[in-house]
Amino acid sequence: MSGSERESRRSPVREGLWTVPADGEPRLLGHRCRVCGEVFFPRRVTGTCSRCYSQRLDEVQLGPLGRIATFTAVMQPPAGGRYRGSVPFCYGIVELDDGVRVKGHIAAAPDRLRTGMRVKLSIDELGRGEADDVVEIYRFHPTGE
Amino acid sequence: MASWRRRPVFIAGIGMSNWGFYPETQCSDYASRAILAALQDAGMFWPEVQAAYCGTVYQGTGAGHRVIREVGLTGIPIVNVENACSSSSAALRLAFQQVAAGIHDVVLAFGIERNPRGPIASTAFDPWELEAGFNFQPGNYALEVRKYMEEVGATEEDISRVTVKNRRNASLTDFARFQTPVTLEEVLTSRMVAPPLRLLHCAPLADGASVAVVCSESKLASPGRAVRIAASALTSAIHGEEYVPGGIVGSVRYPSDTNLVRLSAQQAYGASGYGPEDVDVVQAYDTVSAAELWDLEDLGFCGVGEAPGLLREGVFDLTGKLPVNTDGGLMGRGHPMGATGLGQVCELVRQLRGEAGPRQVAKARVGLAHAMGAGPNSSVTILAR
Repeated sequence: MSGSERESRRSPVREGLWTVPADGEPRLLGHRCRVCGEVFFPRRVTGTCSRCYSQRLDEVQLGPLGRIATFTAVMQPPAGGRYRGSVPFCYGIVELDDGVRVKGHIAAAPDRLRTGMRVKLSIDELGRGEADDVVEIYRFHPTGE
Repeated sequence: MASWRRRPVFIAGIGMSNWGFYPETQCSDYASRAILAALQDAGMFWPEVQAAYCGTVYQGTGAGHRVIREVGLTGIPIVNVENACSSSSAALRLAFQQVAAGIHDVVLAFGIERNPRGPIASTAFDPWELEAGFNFQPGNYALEVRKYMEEVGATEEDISRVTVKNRRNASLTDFARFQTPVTLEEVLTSRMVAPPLRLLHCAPLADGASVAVVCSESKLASPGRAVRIAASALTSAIHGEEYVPGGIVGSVRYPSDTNLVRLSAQQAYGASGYGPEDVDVVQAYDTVSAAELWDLEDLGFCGVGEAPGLLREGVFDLTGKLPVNTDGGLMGRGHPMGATGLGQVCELVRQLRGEAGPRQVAKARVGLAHAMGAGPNSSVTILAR
């Protein structure tokens, strides 16, 4: 395998968290309950709504726009030694316009962030995987609006 | 509630290790000594104990058995209980139920922890969340703290005053990890860990053990020193609520109008017949300083957003109307995860007996302890004299 091929290998931090449709704008993959309307991210493993217990869940694409509900910055590597990214990093809860709250990384310095700020989804490099592959993750960028 | 008639249940004796770091010591050493101290306090001998529950997060398979091996081998059932940072509260609840139901007369509940050295792979989060760094608990708490501060208008000074109070109480507590008070200035200038949380807003870990001998009325050697378990409630998450350290994100369409802490408090008040107005002393769950504030609100001691003002007025001081975390709480005493819940209960027993020395609360008759942890789960214990 040549070096350039190795660099081009990219893998998601977990399969099935997002998709990139024809318009090129990444979307998160969730479930919406056909009975009560509750929205889930990630998709429910059991295919069961944890609010009304129906099993009629439709797969939906979520995003790309939302607002920061809360945020922080992590100044030291998280315990456990499994974290693949670099520090410091910002993350928080983003409320997507589709009506679901999502925990996710935020691409900005913490002193420039405010709650209520508009953000947009993208797929970015988190770090390197065990096979030196590029591990990707969904991340929110302030839109400047 | 259950339809069976419950027997009154008492704590006859307590025992604890000092809380600190013991890298050269086995957990079974200090935990077995704490069990002997609790038996002595209860005026009992090991053969009287009919069952034992050991709460621990990280000590692994057979951990409680290994401790008890140092005390006695009498063939009793021993169960190891893992329920994150309220593991020993859950152990106490099981002991309480056994005695209340009339299955046993004397049951030991204990909590032990010796923090593992090196990386700990959390099982409370999905593997991909570990790779994404979402298991950094001060960060997860920081997300909750920012919401709380913005919602109720609490300031950095407000959340820092919790640390100042609890470190002051810890300085009067001989078994606490931290024996020196800190100033507001020291808290506000300590290293940033995850904004808005600084180092001195976060509870320090510790090693330790805590023990309670739980029994029926007929087994009490000295009824005058016994403390009654009025209630022991345990809950988990409710759909729609948000508690990021517990790995749950709130619903936009169906936000919950209650949460697992409020639910556990309501159940404990309902079972005990006491209300928040009857409680004289509280051990709240201050894993980060601001958590003590919203905890007091969720436990029903004041309205949402009122705790910072009451703290400023001194209501939660040792000499205040409702002393909170009299032994320094997690912040001052330290947080030996599996031992924390029963550590809170041990302090309530001392307070209700009038044996808390320099930090004794006047006329303490009813006490409440709250511990919670990953899952999430929430335990509320109410004790009464």
